Amino acid sequence: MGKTSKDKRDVYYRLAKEEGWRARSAFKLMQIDDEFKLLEGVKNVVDLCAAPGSWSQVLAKRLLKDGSDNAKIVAVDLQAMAPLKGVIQLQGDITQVSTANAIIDHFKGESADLVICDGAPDVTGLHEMDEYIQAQLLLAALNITTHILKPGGSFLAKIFRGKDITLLYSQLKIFFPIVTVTKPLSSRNSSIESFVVCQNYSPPADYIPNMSNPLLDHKYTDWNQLTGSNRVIVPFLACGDLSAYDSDTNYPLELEGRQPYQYRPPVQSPISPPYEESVQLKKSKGLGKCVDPASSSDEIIKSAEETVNKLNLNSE
Amino acid sequence: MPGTISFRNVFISTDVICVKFFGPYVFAGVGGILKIFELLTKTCVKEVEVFKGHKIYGIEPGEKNLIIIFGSKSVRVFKFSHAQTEIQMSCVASISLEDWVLTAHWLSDDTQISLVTAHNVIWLWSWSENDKTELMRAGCSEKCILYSATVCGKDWESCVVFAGTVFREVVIWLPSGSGMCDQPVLHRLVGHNGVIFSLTWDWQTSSLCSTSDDRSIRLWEFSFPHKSDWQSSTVTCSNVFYGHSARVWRSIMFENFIVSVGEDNQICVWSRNGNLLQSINRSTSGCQWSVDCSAKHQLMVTGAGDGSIQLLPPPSPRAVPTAITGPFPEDLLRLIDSPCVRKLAFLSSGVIVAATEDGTILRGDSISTPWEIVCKDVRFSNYCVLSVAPSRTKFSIASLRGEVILYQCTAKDGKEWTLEQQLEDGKIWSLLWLSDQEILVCGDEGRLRVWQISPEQGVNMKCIGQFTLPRSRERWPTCGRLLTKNSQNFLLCGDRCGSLHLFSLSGFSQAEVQFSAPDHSLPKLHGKLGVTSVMKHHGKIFSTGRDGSVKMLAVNSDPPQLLLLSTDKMVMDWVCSVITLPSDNKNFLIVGFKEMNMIVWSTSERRTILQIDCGGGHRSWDCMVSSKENLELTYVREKQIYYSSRALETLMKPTLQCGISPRELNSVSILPLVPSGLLFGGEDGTLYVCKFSGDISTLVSRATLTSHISSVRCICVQDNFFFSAGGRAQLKAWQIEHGSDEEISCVELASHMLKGERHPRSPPSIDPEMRYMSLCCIPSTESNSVVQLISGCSDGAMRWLTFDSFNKTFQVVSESMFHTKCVLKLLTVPLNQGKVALISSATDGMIALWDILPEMFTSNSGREPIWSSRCHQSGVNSLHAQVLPTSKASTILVASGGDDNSVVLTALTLGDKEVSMIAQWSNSSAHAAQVTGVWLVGAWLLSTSIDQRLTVWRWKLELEGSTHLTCDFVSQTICSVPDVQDMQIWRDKDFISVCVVGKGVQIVQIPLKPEL
Ligand SMILES: C[S@@+](CC[C@H](N)C(=O)[O-])C[C@H]1O[C@@H](n2cnc3c(N)ncnc32)[C@H](O)[C@@H]1O
Repeated sequence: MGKTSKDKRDVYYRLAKEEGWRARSAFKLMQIDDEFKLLEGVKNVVDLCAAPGSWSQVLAKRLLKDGSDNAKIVAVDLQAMAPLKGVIQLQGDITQVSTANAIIDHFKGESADLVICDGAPDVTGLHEMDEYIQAQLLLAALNITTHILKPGGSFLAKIFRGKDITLLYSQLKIFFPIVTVTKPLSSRNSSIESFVVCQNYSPPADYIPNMSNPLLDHKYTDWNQLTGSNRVIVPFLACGDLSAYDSDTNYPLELEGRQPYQYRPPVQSPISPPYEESVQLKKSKGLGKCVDPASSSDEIIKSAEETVNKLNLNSE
Repeated sequence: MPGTISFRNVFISTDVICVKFFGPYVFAGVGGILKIFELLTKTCVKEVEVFKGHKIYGIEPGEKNLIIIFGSKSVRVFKFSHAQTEIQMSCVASISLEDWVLTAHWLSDDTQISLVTAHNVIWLWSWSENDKTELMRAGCSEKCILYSATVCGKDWESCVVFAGTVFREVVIWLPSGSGMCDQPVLHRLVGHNGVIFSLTWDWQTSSLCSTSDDRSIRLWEFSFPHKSDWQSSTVTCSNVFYGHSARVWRSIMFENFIVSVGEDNQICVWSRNGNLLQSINRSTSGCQWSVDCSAKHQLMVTGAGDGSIQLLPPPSPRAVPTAITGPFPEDLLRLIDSPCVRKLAFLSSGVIVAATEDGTILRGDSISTPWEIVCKDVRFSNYCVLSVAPSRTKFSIASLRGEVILYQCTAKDGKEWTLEQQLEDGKIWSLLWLSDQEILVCGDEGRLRVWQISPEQGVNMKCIGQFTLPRSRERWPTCGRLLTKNSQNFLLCGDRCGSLHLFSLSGFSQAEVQFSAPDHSLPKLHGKLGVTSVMKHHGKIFSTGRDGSVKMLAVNSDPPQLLLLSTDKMVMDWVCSVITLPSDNKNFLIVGFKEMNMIVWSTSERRTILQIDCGGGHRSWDCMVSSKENLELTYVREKQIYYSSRALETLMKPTLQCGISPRELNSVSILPLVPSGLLFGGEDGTLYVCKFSGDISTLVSRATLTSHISSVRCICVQDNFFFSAGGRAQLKAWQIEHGSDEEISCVELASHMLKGERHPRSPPSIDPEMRYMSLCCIPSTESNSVVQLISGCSDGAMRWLTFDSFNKTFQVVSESMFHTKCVLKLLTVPLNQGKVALISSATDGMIALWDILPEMFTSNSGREPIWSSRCHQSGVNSLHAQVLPTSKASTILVASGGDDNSVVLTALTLGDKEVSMIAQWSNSSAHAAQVTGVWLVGAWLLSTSIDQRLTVWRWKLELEGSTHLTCDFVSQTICSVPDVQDMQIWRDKDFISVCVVGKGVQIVQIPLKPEL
C-alpha cells in the first residue's frame, strides 16, 4: 500500500500532519473545547497521559497566547515525550502514588482549574478487561484530580463506552453535578472511545482526598441496575461543527478550499514499540533460538533497596 | 408490566479465555458459561451459567472435587459430582470483591483461598458452605495497576505474590510481613519491554515464567540459600524466548517444556534452555487465549478467539525423519553406475520405488526387507518418468523415446507382471495415472492420449481419447482426473502454467485423427507457477497449485464448463496434493511446502499437523496414509532417502468445539432459501455460511468464503443470490446452491472494484480506500436476471448498481451525494402495489426516505430523497421499519438507533405529493453506548448496543384524534458478545429468535406472549 493510503483513509491524520500536530487527537480536544469552552479562563492545567503531546500542544496554543507564561501546563505520561515550549513534563505512571505526589508538588498551594486525561491502556482485545483497565486509568486520574482541582473546576477524560460504563458514570456523579458524555467528530463513529466532560467540581462535604488507596468503581445496585430501566446514563452531546470533517468519511486528497495535497511525513516519529527487539530478531532470523538474557537490552535485576526513581523531571 | 419476558440463551460462541483439564473432562469458560466436555466422547456434557454479564477468566480445581471459578470481580466455589451419568456442579460459596480478580489460589486448608486483585492487593478468603465467609486483606507498597498476578505457597504465612505491572516489571512481595501496613517489594524483575500479561510459577523447578506485550517469554530461576526463605532468595533471568510474532498471553510449564500461546494464533513449545521445538499455527482461529496440558491423557487443549476449543498432541521434541543411510547395499551398488536417486514414490506402507540417474529402478523397504533391483534399462537412463497408480499397486516408467513399462506389483492373485508398449514416437513429457485403469500420456506439442489398461495380463492398452493442450511455454499436464457428470465422461487436467482444462471423453473412435482442444478452460487459475493436483472427494472437486491455494470446483455437462466455487489460501507457498483419510470422509490432509519445510495440513483442525525441514519443494517426495493410519513421508535430500512414519492419532486430535470467526463479525442476515441458514460477514474479510439447529443449539459451518481482500462490512440477500461488500471498494456477487443431503455450495459470480470507474456526475475522484458501508437489494416481484442494488459508501455517496446474473457483471448506474457524510445504513421497505421505499442514514444523524423508481436503474436521472430529517446527533448505526396497516395512505414506522445512545421511532405518512412526519418518539438514554441494532416485530421494538444489553420495548401509535406515538421499556437482558455490530431477528412458531453478532455470535429466544 502506498504511503498516502493512510492520508486517504483518515482525513484527520492527514490534517494533523499538515497543521503540525503530534497526533490527530489534537482535533478531539479542540472540538470538545469549542463546544464546552473548557479552556476559558484556565490558568493551571494538568494533562495526564499526554504523550506524544498533541493535547499539550493545543493547551499551549490556546492558553499561552503571545508567548507569555500566564498559564501553567503540567503534562504526565508513562512514555518519554519530546519537549514542548511552556509545558512542564513528568514521566510516570498515573496509577502510582509517587507520580501523583510529583504532580501535587508542582502545584504547591495552588490548585488546577482543569484536569484532562486522554489515557489509553494497552488494549488486549478482551473488551471487558480493556474497559475495566481504562476505567481504572480514569479513576486514577480522578483520584489525582481530587487533590488538585479547585472546587468548580472541570475534568475531561477519555472513556470506553462499553458494558459497565454506567458504573463509572455513577462514580463521577458523586464529584461532579454535571457529567456529559461527548464524542467529537474526529473520533470515529465505530470507535468505543468517547469523552466525559465533568463540570463544577463539588466533592462530597466529608470527602478527604486519599492517594494511598485507589478509587474503585461502583457496583450494580438498585438505582444502577445491571439490567433494567434504572441505569445511570448521562446525557450525550455530539461535538464538532457540522461543517467540520467527519472521521468516517473518505475525502479526496484534493480538499476543497485547501492547499493542493502534498505528502508529509508524520510530525513525531513513533516512540519505540515494546516489540522492537522481537522485530529485530526476526530480521536477523534469530526467532525461536536461544537468547542469552545478558545480551538482551538493559537487563538488570534490582533488589528492593535499589528502588528506581522513575520520575525524570525534564521541564523546559 | 416490565420484566415479564423471558430470554432464553440458545447459542453462544465468543472468546474462550480459559480451559482446564479436570479428571476425564475439559472445563472451558465461554462467556459466563462453563462448558464441560467429556474426553471419552468429545462432547459437551454439561453447561452451567456461572456468571451473568461477565466472562469466566479462570478455573482452579482443588482437592475434594472443589473448583474455583472466577471472572471480573466475582469468585465462586463449585463442587463437582456425578451420579451415574448426570454431572452436578453446585455452587457452594461465592464472593464479590471491589476490584478485578487476577488470580485465585488454593491454600492447603481447602476452606482458604487467596486472591489477587488488580491494584496489587492480596485477599485471604476463608469460605464455608453456610455463607460464613471472612476476608483478610494485605497490600503492597507498590500501588499500580496489574495485568497479571500469581501466588505460590501452601498457607497465608508462606504465601508469595508475583505481580506484573504496567510498568514492565514483576514485583514480588510477601503478604504476611510485619504489621498492618503495606508490604515492601522483595524482588523487582526488570527486563520486559512491555506490559506483563501472565505469570506462572512452578515449584518443581523454582521458576517463574512471564509473558509480555514485547512478544517474549522470560524464565526466571530462584535459588534459596535457606530452604524456602524468600528473604534470602536470589533470582536470575535464565532465558528469554523470542518466537511469537505478536503479544504472548499465557504460558505453562509442563514436564521439561514451556508452552506459550499468543495473539499471533500460535502455540509454541520450547525447551527450557530456549529452543523453539514446535510451533502450532491455528491461523484461522485467531488469538490463542488459553492453554492447558495433561500428562495423564497426553493431551494439550487450547481456547481461541473464534470460540473454538481444540485438543492437541502433547508437547514433544521436534520430529526428525530417519535417513535411510546407504539405502543400497554394497552388492547392489556394484551393479548401479550412478546410484543418485532421481525420483521416488511409495508402493505400500514403507515400501519405496526409486529411479536412479542411470535408469535403475529399485524397490525397497525402509526398515526390514532389503532393496532389490526391479529393472535396469539403458533406455530409461538420464530420463525416466516414474509414476504410481492411485491404489499404489501399479507403477509405470516412461522414456525419452516413447516407451512405457507398466508394473503390476501385487495383483489380486498375488502375481506380478509387466507390460511394455510404445505409446509415443518421441519424448513422453508426462505420464499421469487418472485411475487404476487409465493413464494420461503427453507427447510432443501438448498431444494428450488417454490409455485404458486391460484387466487381463499381457493385453495392450487402448487409446480412449486424444486431445491437445493449448499452446504454452511448458506444454504438458501436471495432474488429471476422470469425472462423470450426468453420465457424461470428462477429463480434467491442470498444466504447468496454472490453467485447468476440461475435455469431453465421449464419442471417441479408434480411427480418430483429430486431437481435440479443451471444451472449457480456466486459464491461469493457479497463477503462473502451475497446478499441482486435481482430485474428487465426496462429490467435490479440488485443485491445488503453486500459488498456495486450494480451490473447489464444479463441472457442468451441458455445455461442458468448469466453475470455480471457492478459493482457500493456505499457509504454504506451494500446495502439492490432497490426501484422503480412511476413516473420515468429510476432512482430508493437504501437503505442501513453505520455505524449507514440507507441511501437512489438516482440514478438520485447520492447522499444520506435521512440519519437516526437507530443504524445500524442489525434490522428489511422496506422502501417504497407510491402512494402519500412519502418515508416511519420504523424500530425497542431498542424495539421501529420508523416511518418516507417524501415527495419525498422535498428530491429529479432535475439536471439542468449532469456532466461527477470529475477528469481529460486522453483519448477519438470514438466508431465506436455506432452512435455518445464516450468513455472516466479518472484519477478517470472510463470509461464513452457517446453519443453526435449534434442537441441538449449534451453529454448523457450511461454507467459508475468503476471497475479499479487505473487511466485509455489509451483505444482502436476494433469492438464491447474495452480495457482499466492504473495504477497498470491493463488491461481490454469489450464488447459493442448496443441494441434496444438506450440502450447500456457494459460487462466486463476480467481483467488482470501484476503482477507476468514473461517471459524469461522480465526485472528482473515486478513492480506492472507500469502504462500502451498507448494501441492499430492491425486491422485485417478477423473476429477472438483473438484480438492482443500492449501496451506501464511506465517501458520502449512495450508488445505484445493477448486477446482471447472466453476464455476471456489475454496473454502476448512478449516484447521489445527498448525504455528503459517510453513509452508514440502507434499508428497503416494500410498499403496496410493488412500490419500494428506501431509507438511508449517515454519520451526521440524518435519515432520508427515497422513492425507488425503476428508471433510477436505467438512467442517470436526478436523485433526491422525498423526506429527510436529522433524527440523531451523530451516526445512525441501525435502521428498521414496518409498514402500518392504515386505511388511508401508507404509514411507515421507522426505528433508528444511534451513536448518541438513543433510539428513535418516526412515523411517516406517504401522501401522493408529499411525505409528512406524523409522530416521533425518542429515548436519549435508551442505552449507555452506541445503539447498533433495532428491529420492529409486531408491537415490540428490540434494540441492542455496544453496552451489550438487549432491550424489548412496546410501542403504540394512536391515529384517532391527535396522533400520539409512545414506547415503553418492557424488559432487558445482557449479552455475552462484546462489540455488538448487528442484529437479525426471525420469527418461529411461538417465539422469536434474536441473533446478535460482534466479537462472537449469540442467539437468544424470546417466547411470544399472546399480546404480540
Ligand atoms: C492516546 S495517548 C494520548 C495522546 C495525547 N493526548 C496526545 O494528544 O498526544 C494515550 C497515552 O496514555 C499513556 N498511558 C497509559 N497508561 C498510563 C499510565 N498508567 N500512566 C501514565 N500514562 C499512561 C500512554 O503512554 C499513551 O501515551
